Amino acid sequence: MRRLALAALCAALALADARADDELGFVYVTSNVGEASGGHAALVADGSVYHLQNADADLLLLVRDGWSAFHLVYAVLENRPLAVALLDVTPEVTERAQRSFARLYVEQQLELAKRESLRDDVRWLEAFAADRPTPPLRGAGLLAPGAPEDPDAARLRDLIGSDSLAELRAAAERAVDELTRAGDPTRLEALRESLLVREAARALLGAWGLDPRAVAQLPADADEPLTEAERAGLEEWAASQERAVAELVRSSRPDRGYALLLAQARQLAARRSLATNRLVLLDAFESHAPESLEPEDVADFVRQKRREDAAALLRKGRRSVLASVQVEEANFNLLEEVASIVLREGRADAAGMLSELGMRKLPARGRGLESPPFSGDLGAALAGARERLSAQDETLRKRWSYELMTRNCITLLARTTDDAFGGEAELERALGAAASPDDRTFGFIPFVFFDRVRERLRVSRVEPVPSHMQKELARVFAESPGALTRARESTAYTSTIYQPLLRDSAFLLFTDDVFWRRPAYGFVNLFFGLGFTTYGVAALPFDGGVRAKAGLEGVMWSVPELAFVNVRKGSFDWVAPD
Amino acid sequence: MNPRRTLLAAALIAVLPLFGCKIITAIIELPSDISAGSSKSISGSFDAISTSSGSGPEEPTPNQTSYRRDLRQFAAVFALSQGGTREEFLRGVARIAEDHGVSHWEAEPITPRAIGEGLRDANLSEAEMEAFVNDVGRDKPAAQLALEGWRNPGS
Repeated sequence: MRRLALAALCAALALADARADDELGFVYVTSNVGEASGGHAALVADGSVYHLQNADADLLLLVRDGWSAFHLVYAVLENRPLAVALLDVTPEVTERAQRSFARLYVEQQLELAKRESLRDDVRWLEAFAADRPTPPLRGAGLLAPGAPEDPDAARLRDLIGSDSLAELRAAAERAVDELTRAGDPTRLEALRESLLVREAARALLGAWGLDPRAVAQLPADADEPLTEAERAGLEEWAASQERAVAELVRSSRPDRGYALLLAQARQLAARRSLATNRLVLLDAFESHAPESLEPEDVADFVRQKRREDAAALLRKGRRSVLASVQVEEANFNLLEEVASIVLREGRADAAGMLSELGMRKLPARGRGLESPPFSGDLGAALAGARERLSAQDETLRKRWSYELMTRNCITLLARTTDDAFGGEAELERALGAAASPDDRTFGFIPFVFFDRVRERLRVSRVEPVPSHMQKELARVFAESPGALTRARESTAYTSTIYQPLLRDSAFLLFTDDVFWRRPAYGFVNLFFGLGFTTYGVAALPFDGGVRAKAGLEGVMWSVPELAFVNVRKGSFDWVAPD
Repeated sequence: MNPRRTLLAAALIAVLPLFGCKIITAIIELPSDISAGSSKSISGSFDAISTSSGSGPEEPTPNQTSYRRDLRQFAAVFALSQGGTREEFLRGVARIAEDHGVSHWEAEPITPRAIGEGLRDANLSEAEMEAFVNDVGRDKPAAQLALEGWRNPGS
């Protein structure tokens, strides 16, 4: 029986690796303690994964990622077995589904951007009303007014021509004057844009050098000399940034100030790289990351592994990006992101989540810029701006706020899939049936939804994707079969694969790989949890109650096991790459 | 539902009040998860660049495909909505481009092409598209790419 299970698991592993990239399917993520303890679901299409997360003050936001990152987080680190129901559909159907998710993503991102702009309006009007300096503007801190006549910047100025730059500065100054004199509080975004264009023109005319605080200073072990291929790539990149500055000076984009400042800074960084024969990259996280990162509760070896992984990633990126015939901006930005991770000792979460499909972080170090006073009744303007912000918050809440049964990660996933098609008849032709589980009691629960997908939609096959623990157990049992190995691997404290973590709750026996013995194991875990709670209470003055909490959670997650239900599976902080 | 599934559903329903909204939605709030997932994403992007450059210019990276798709949807939604200004349109394009690591989006051939495709999705007539192209400047490569996107929007 056990051998059969192992054979099935090996087959599943092979299938998971061979999963076709051009297919459409629904992914079921099994439960585990912590967030999404009731499970989760996603859509996979052409190797991209779409799912909804409760991410911004109870808003349900679309997250997109490559399959490999999704698999790493859910199946490996969170140790949840997955199942993928692949649908028998045409490539056109897959593309239409992806477009529907692209539409949702764009709508959400633009509404969030609108809210950010309105928040800025309020901050700016508050500053004007209190006669305080206005908030920093992104990109303005990349270059230093205190470092004029930088030789590379002077060369760039000569390349563009001082006359056209003076014209650009004069036009921006006129726009700033007009906008502040008019005192229209709904045109503050235009004011900020004009201030940035003015600053970019000033920086070009004054040949300002890079602000050293905008550069990601790499540690010695990640600061290798440039190779010939990298030098060639950087020459090409520097020239492309010079062209970009020239094009942006001529552009009619009202918001080109930031892009201009960034292109100048990148050109200077590239020229400095070539001069010093060391890669100089801008810090992509500075304006996106909090000033001090929340400390992580991970072991020292995890921190060390992360640092090593980040340095290795930078080496890989240098080979991939700088060796290209043409260095593209989006690709070069990846290098900046990795340098920012290396700078933060491997903390890739420092500026929030990154994805293969967007969510990029561009270097944007901010600095406050001088602005003429804003005319008009600032009290009334501020009241109006606050009202507009509140209305925008309400719009976001109405469209995407999380509601347990009517708008959760399942219902919005299913509706967005269905929205790709014109109506019931078209849905039936495309998928076999609607994905929305409205016809099913508790259809909003992930596994009920997945059962319905299997029953109603045109599923060609279901592929199990094992968790990290399942995969490792298969390896360990194959290498060392026997009752002793099984006994050793069945408890959290003797397992060679798992290291107990307090966030997993206190437990002794794994119950996800047994069924008939599960209630008995549950009893053991329940009593272990009670004992751990007692120990936690004694440790309360020293640990702030984290052990007591883990003990109580251990008791709670043992209760479903008494009724044959497993939720808890353990999790991992770091796993060696394959 | 089989009895095991029913038990799990019952267990979930029973503990719903304990967890409120958290039980069936994912919030990857563990820094270690975000960190590892983000690093993996970048690694995947580097792999895609290597694959793309190895197989000729016709093979876009997932980021490029996604940029094109997003921009196409944005152009279609914007064209169908009432009262948007030119500045708002350009800001929207910039926001989407920056989300994909592009600040100088005018230099990316995908940009005008995707906009043209989106305008086709919004059912812009040939006359309206001609007016758009004239507005951009008919002789500019961007205008021609937009027209090409409108004429051949793909499926």
